[in-house]
Amino acid sequence: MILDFKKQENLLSRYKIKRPLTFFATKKEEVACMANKIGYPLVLKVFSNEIFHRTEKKGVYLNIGSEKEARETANKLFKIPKSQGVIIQKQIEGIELVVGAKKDPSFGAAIMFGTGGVMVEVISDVVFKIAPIGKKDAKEMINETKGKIFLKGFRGMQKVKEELVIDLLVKTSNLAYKEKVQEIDFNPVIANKDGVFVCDAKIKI
Amino acid sequence: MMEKIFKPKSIALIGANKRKGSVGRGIAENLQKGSARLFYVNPNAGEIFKNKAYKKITDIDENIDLAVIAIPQKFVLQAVKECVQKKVKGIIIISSGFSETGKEGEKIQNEIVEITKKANISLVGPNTLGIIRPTVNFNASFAPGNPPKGGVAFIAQSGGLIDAIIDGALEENFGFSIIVSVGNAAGISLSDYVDFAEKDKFTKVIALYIEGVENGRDLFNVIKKTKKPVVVIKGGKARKAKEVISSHTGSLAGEYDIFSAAMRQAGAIETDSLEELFDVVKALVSFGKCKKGVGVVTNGGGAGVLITDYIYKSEELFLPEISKKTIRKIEKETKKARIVFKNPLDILGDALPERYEIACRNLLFQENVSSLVVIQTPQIMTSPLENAKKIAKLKKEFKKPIITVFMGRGDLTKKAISYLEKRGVPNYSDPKRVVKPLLSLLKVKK
Repeated sequence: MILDFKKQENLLSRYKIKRPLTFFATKKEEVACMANKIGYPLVLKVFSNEIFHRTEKKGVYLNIGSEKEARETANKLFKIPKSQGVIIQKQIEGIELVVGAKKDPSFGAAIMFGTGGVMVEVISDVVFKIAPIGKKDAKEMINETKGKIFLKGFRGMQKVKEELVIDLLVKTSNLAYKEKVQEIDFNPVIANKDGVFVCDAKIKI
Repeated sequence: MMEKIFKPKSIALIGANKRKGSVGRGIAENLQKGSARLFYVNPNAGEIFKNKAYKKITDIDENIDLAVIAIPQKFVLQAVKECVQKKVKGIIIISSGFSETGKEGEKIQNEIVEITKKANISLVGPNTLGIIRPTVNFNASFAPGNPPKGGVAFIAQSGGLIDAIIDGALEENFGFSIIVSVGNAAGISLSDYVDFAEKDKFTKVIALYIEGVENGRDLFNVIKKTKKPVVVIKGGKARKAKEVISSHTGSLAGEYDIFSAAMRQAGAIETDSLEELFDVVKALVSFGKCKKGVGVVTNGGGAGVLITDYIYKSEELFLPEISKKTIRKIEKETKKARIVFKNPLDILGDALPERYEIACRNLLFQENVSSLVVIQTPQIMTSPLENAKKIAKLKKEFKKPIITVFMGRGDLTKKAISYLEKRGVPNYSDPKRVVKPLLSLLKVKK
């Protein structure tokens, strides 16, 4: 089962894992006010602790540009079966990464890092280590991926602070090692000149 | 504790048998080669190999360090209980028919584990080929032949594979410190054996054949801790039927992905085939840590081109340029103008042992050459054994790893290879095969 949204947010903030500005609406009426507070463009996503792949349920909308659009989209999201609320999040741009973790029945907590986005499974540019890891391990993980060139400012793309990616990996590995979680899925994690942000998070318990 | 049962002073073989082709006889013959006092136990008693056979282990007056049990499964539990009564220190259960066969076997196995644990008795197996320590003349197995002594501890989850490897080792000129068939590992675990090999003074390299690990975290920790090189091959990499995949991480992180990452993180070297496993082991037994610069001497252009490709592709190793100083020395000593001074250094088809020696020695003197590969293609004027003698001499003189690629399988070449390998110079039949061993030497822990 997926961890409830509130509990998930608490857990992430306890490990100081950074998110883009995010609100959670359990009622339709709350959406407009929250959206205005964040500002546009923004992302609206359905939340349910029974839905793992939001995209497959048509539960993710990007580039919401106005209050009107936000209201209309929220109506659709609340109608998705098993919907428990709507995530309203500031839309940010940058390099898409994936960070994950898993409790392996034999080796215990393991952490994953790689090139993110909806096609992670196709690209499969991911590496693993046994948790917990230190900064040196995290740096090694980054260097083992093909996607590392994107972090270094590939063809005019904005350069990312590598130490912030390292920091996220170390924190996630600690979370996976210490907490009673089965799987962690941060995809995408977006890295840009302002920082490294976990945009979409799912924690399986 | 493990040292005591793997170098016992007295052994009881429960299930000793005269019958040709029986496991009981095979083990008896192997145990006889050692120096421990040997007692035979067989319910039919009588005499075995002119020795008295006891009906039960408890009938023996002397203390027994180790009991080896090779009897049908249904009698094993009772035999174990008698071993406890006899206060043995360790038990090897060769017999099969336990957790590997299903629930019922598992139940008996669990009972045996409980009894032995309570009595503080080390348990090997069940369902094992046994244990061999050629370095202390201890062979409690039904493996054929006499595995040669050496520095390799081979710990495997397959008995059959061990038989094949012992057979191959005789030809490959490397030897073993410990050979363990872990069997069901109900008592002593895979990690315990690795730890034992780490502490064993004869062991230089630990080689593992693993199909599945029950407690991977323990194995990870023990490999991480060991200073000796660990080389691993994993059987059963193919993914099992997928469960409902619910996340990206879940679908990307297969059982083997995690295993492989753990081995790498712990500092073990993973290989793809048994051939590669022992290619790597051969180098690690002979040499310590080395750096990335490889010098190559060859008497054939093509082999030099091939090895250049492989070394380039490795992305880690490189071929340092031959320095002016080295060139000057080789020119002076060989009086040969036709040599083109590039690395790989092609000393031409008519190279005699002397030219080989000059080229090799001077490359070894060059500081950024950290290891040397000597290639020989058999040409009519080549003298493989003489070349081998020169190279073996250099091996003694220099600390730097020297590896040979004597190509071909003619009698003269074979003789030369055997000469080299007996003196710690590993030979590979194909230039491609030197890459993985050289990469492994980079990763040796201090």
